[in-house]
Amino acid sequence: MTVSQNQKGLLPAGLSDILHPQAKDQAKTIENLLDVFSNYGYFRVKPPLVEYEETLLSDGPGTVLKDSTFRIMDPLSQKMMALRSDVTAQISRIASTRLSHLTRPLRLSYSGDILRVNGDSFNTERQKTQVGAELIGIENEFCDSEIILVCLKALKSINIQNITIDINLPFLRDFFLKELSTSLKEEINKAIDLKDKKIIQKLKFKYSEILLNLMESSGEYSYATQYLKELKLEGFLDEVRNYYLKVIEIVNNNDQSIKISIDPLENRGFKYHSGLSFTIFSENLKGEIAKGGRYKTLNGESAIGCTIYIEKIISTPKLNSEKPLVYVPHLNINDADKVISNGYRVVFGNNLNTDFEKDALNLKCQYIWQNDSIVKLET
Amino acid sequence: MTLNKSLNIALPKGRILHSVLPILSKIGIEPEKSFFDSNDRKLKFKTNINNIDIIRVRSFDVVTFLAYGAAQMAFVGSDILNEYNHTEVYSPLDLNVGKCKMVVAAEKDVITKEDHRTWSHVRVATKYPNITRKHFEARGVHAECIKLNGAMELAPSMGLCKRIVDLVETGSTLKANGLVEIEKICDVSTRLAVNRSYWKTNLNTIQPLIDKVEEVINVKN
Repeated sequence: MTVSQNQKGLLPAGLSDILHPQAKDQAKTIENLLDVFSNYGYFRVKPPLVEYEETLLSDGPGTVLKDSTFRIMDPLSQKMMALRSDVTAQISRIASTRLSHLTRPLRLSYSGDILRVNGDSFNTERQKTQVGAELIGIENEFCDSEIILVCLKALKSINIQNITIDINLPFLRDFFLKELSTSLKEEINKAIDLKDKKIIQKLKFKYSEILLNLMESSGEYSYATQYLKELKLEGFLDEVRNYYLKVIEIVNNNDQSIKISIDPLENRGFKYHSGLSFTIFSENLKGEIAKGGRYKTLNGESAIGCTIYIEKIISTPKLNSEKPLVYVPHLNINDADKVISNGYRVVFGNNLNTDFEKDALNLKCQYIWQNDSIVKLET
Repeated sequence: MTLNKSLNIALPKGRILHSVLPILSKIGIEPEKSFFDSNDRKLKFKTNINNIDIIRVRSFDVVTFLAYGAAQMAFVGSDILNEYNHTEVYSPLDLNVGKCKMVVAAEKDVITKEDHRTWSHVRVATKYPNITRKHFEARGVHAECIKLNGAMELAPSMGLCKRIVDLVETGSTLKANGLVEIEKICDVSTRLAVNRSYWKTNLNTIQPLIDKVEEVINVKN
């Protein structure tokens, strides 16, 4: 069978060539985000693309990534290797091994490409770029709030507007449902997922009333905080509620430009999270744009992190206006330097082509280098 | 009623539409005239409320339009919601209209001749491959689904397969085609569904609207 020229360009499902100007915009976006993390004292690390399967997937956050991870065989060690499908698992490993001697809290940031077996509900992309920050070793309301606030700062630095943050306690479901039968658990989980209170009202189990109250509490900031404050809770649940409210309060006091949505029982997309978690939306963008939450690292330390989904953000209007392009007819680095130092970009002409102006227009230049000066091109 | 954010409501063609329009009317939403004109080829319609539009799509497409944010609210059968089971969709209210059930049906002698305990594989004609597969997987049986878009009841007599999974209201279609109900998979009724991002980012718009619909159905019941 012969392969046609067109088919040679075919890529596997969920993989694509990112071209100009998206590739440049993506790189700039990532750098902007990482600069914000760096401003708040997060040290950048860069784990490898591939690891031994048993290291990456056996403990900590890695355990839930098994189904979404590609495997390849390492011909050198004859061991199975896994292509990372999430960077947080690797940060957890770094914090628990090579950086375990550093003082806590440890602040790390990263950016990297991941590969997933399947795309998610909106994006069929299987290769994605994650940018994130992790705060490892201490669990309190200030650490949780810090990650949220720094993540919001990062999103604002790339002009994301109309932000809503949904703050959740996904682990509560396990707490309420742990002693129930599988079928009842399934029924309750489904009702919570649908947000259908009537189904819960019909079912009888130990925590049904509290569960209903928590479903009722979900909503926008002022309604939900008031509802939660007045809710009668005891022991563990009382502590959790107070902690939750403290974080929400700190976030609200520090940044009143964002909308806060409160939904304690939401657990969509949280896999390895063991504590307070959050999802960030923007009215102008589809679906989740960032997500984060508390989890346990490889050696059991408590950590909280956030991940920003670059592929959701890249389609927003231009982040950086591009410098104008100047046509320099002949290769001359010294001339080019003069132009660049004046705040332009340059492109060299083709020496075989003598119609410089036409060549310049073909190369999408707005200016031309003539007689030692930058001249605007007539279009 | 006024709305500060624009909202598209997706309504499915056919069965459900007639039971949903009275509910919309009671909460104060009336589609423009051309909506009721069967010759009109438009798919998007204005309503008496400034920011609310209605789109009319095939019932199986409602969840897709909703999940991708083309519509922010929809009235849709629980069969469709279950089939797609989409994470980007909330469905807070059962409207208690458009009721029917989803069943496994077959020709009569399938029940008398076969011992279901010995099955490892069944072939089923259905519009609902996901629900069907899940239903049989729960008892350790692999269901090979033949996806049909209609005339399911023909499949057994034409030798495509022995079983079908489909919606049954009165059972008369089954009977007319020599089929009997073997088991019920679930009850089906029409639900109110909302896009997740819209819900989260417009809590003050969406909640009052849901409350209104809830009032209407509570009165009805």
